[in-house]
Amino acid sequence: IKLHYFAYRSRGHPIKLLLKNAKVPYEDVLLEFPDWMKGKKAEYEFGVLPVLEMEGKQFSQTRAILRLLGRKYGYYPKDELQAYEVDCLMDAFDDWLHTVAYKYFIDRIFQGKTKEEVEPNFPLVIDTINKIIQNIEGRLTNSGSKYLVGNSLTIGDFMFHTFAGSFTSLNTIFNEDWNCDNFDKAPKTKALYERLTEEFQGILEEIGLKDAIIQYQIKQTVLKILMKQ
Amino acid sequence: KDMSIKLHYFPLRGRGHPIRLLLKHAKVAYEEVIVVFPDWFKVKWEYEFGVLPVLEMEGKQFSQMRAILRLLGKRHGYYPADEMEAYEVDCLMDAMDDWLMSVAMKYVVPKQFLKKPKEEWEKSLPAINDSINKMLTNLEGRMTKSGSKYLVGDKITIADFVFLTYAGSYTSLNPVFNADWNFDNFKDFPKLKEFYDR
Repeated sequence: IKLHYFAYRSRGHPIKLLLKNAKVPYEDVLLEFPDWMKGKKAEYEFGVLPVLEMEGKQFSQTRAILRLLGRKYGYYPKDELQAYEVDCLMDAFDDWLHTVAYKYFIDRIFQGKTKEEVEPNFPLVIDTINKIIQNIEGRLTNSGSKYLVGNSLTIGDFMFHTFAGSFTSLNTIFNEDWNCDNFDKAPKTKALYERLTEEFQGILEEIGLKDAIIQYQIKQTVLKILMKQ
Repeated sequence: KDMSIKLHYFPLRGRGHPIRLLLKHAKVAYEEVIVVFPDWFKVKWEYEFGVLPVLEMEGKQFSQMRAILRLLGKRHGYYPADEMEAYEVDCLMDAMDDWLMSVAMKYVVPKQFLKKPKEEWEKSLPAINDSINKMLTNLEGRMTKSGSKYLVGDKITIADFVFLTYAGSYTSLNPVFNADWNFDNFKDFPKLKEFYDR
């Protein structure tokens, strides 16, 4: 089994969390952006990553893959309403990822736009995030469940942990840009995130986060040092 | 408590339409709640995630088109029981949605809604064309290989409802924006064309 993705968290991460949790051995095939733009893209079924190579075939689309593996290894609810809950939340997380990526991350980090240029998008980004967090908090309060949906780990938890992780690290690093509370008004959500972090600790160390955010931060630090010289 | 089914969406095809197609095909009675654009920002945050479509059913809100389609699909026989076929349906719906999003965000929104100058969205067109081509080639390949009348398996699935919607939007966009891009409606994709016409 080979997982083809870039060297950062985002859409590949939930799949890694699942495979490691299920103790299924796999290999990372890491791609770099320059290669991707130069033609690697065309080698993949839909021209997008992540792609899971398994049984000699290519499997695309994060959530479709998660659902397939989830059914196989017991991380996807059999009950149709619980399955709906998981599906709905995963789509919401992906919407959030899309919003932050297209209205902030890509502009600010890859295209080097200034804070003033991206600022008009902040209300929408922050409102969207807050709404999702409120929604999760509401669900957790109503259900009293131990995990995101139900009382055992699902693919929803893998995606939630990825989303929450990206969000908290973005928040810390770009606190100068925006001022968003880290789950401060969502105690149950925060507790879930912390509990999952503890549960996944060994796995997270094994995966090793080569976060683009961390890389950016390092790059900025280096640039600042160079500019001072 | 009102237990009737209501579909909340804009007066467009977009992400509401596949749900409409399913409900009509399954002969399930429902009511349309049309949200017009001038009202959207007033009501947006009344919805669970601030997005549409939302299906009101059994006194609750259900969000996210594909999650809704999967639930209704399971209940009314439009979602495969076989896990590999289910994967195919999921994968195709996600891929088609990616395509819809890129056409919407890189072309329709800048051109129609934000009225941005041609230079701003023009450079996205080759990439959009490529991804449409790639998508259609993929779908054509699957249908040729399986010999099936439907996108996945031998009967209608939620993937077919999504495809019909997007192909419909796309073919109506095409003549209107033919000046901008040059793409023949399924000229190279006979099986898809036959499927769509049917």
